Amino acid sequence: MVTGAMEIPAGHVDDGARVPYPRWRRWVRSLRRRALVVRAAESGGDPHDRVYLGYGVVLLALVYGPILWSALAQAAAAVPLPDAPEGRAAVLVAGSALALGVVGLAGLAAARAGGPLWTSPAEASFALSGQFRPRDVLRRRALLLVLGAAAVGAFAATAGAAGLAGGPVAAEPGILLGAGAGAALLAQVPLAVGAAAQAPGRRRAAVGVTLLLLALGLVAALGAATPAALPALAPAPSTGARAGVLVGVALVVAVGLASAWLMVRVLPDELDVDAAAAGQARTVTAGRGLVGGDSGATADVLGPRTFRGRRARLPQLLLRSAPLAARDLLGLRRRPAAAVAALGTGAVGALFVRWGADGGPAVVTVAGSLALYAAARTWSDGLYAFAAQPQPGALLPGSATRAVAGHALVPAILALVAAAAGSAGAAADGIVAALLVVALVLGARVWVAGATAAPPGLFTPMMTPNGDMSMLVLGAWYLRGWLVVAATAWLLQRAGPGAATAVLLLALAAGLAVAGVRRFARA
Amino acid sequence: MRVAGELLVDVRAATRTHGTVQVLAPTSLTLGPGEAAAVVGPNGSGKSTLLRLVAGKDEPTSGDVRVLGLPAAQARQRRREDVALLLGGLSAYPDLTVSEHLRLVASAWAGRHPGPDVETALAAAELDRVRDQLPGELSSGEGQMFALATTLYRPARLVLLDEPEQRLDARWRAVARRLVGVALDAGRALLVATHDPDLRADLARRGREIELAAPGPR
Repeated sequence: MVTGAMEIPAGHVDDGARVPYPRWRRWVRSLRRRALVVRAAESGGDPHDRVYLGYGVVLLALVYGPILWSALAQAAAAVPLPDAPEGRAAVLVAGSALALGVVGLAGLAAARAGGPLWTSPAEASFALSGQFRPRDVLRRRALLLVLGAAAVGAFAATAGAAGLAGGPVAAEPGILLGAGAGAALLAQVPLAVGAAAQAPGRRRAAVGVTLLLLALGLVAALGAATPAALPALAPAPSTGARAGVLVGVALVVAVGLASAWLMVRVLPDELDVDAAAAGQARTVTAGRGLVGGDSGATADVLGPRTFRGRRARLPQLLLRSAPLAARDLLGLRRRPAAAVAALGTGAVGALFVRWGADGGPAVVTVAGSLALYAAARTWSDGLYAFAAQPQPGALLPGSATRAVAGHALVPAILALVAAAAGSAGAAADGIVAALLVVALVLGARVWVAGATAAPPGLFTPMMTPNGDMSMLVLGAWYLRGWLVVAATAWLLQRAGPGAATAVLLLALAAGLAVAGVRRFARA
Repeated sequence: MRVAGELLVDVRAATRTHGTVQVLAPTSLTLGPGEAAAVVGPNGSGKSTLLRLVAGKDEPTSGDVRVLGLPAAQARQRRREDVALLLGGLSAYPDLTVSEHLRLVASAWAGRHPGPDVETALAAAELDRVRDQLPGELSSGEGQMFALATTLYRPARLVLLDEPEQRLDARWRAVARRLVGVALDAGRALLVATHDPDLRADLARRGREIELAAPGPR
């Protein structure tokens, strides 16, 4: 038993006992370089492929970067800005906080997939097993991440600022510079959130910061949407506008620098290197699977799923009449957080579809449809598990059609519940639009679940003036459900309400479902 | 119901060739209700290929494979309720426990399930200890025994098993042989590819042995 003032954590290595890394760095790097050359030679590749890859990435960035920047600026220009300075400030705070919160969520997900501070199983064994200080080993990639996040943040913020100011020409250089510098600093926050989620002791704090940012964003958005509430949310601008701006700038600088410092100096030492290495290995395997056409390859990227509700049992009453629906309900009870999040997302999606049907822009209908499609993935867990089986339905009686119908019951009911929640009190057009989109996303889910491997024909080289586009086609195949739902929702909005539109959309949904069932039957 | 002279499996001079490699030499076999056949032979002799042909998951390069009176590929579509398969993994749900899988099977087949009840089946397979575990939480051997027990728990006239003894220790191999024996007692036809000499002997006593030739030089 250890007695003393401080408990020493397991696996702790006294920094004084570590080997200084700098003198080993060059040696480790030359070893890595040699191993890379040997591996490339063994696989018949060119060791200089990475140089060509870097060249290609730079070329693509130079060609498409300005196009993306202009697109972002145009999107920002379409955002309606209130006339009052408080309203503008609220929109700015809401946009920034929501963007940081969403990127923070992505950082939390990345932490489960072995990022953002990545390492490999070999490095975890040979360089991060205690002999060197982790922050020395990981310093270069931490700095690279900090600079990369700053560049991406500045890129997006300057485009947004230019759009809001009325275009790149109209925007003052000072505003663009300020927006870029501020975003470069704030971009360190979600990066640090992701890296903190990789450290067991700081995971909870990372989740807390992300939720705080999202809550701040929602409150500010609410304030921007209800101008009457703004004076209560912010002090009168005339009394201390200048001081407020100075405090805001100081806060951004302090938060940004503190996040960067955490990223480079603190978090690497607390990283769970084994979990990060395992996540990285899973991600690499999934990437190879995706390139090989296996759409199920991403299933394990975030690590094994955790199932709760182990005391829950199959509902007896339903088990007799609809056993697969009983199974699916039990599955959802074992993933309560995902089930609740999916219902919320679905309801928000239906709300957006209703807004679009009430005369809102097409992008709202598309976003709502995609939110419903995303939510339907959780509702269709049973169907996807069925599709992933070596012999789908081998244990069950009846045809594949019957099994798919059994698994479609729970998603259909939950989709209707979400649609009802989102379109409560709506006009008939809004309700019909929500129901049509529900039918579309359910049909698309059956269609997508029916095929887990890309058709071999997609790998046929497709030569174009820009090179082989077969990988682009493969990417489109993976995103086929999203693309079909987005395109159909956009067409629905353009066509407007009407019996012909409804019939066409229902026919499309039925066609997708039938195609999915046929694939199940052939499996 | 047993029909006099009925053939559940009828394989006539079936071969399978991948490219230039013949993975199954000409093979013939017949199997009636309640009969067993052990498919044996060294690795690469075509045991799994033969089972895949009978399951209708692959087409013979030459010869004929009929199951329940239909070409195997059609039988897979039209008579899937009569054929239980354990070829390369169990069709399990990741969020259901071991006992819930058996309960789901019993409920899904409702009046057509001849029993036994879930508790008895778990006890017979010696899976009581892991009854509340999810498939992903089972050890390799437990997972294999779960797969075998669940496959044999669903009603079927014909059962195809590909090396059911794999990853099982000596005690559980004995349990697996007992489960296979119970399935035969219930009047099912079993076609089993195996490397286990005891299971092979058991099946040979109750039916026949089909020895596939060793693969030629490649």
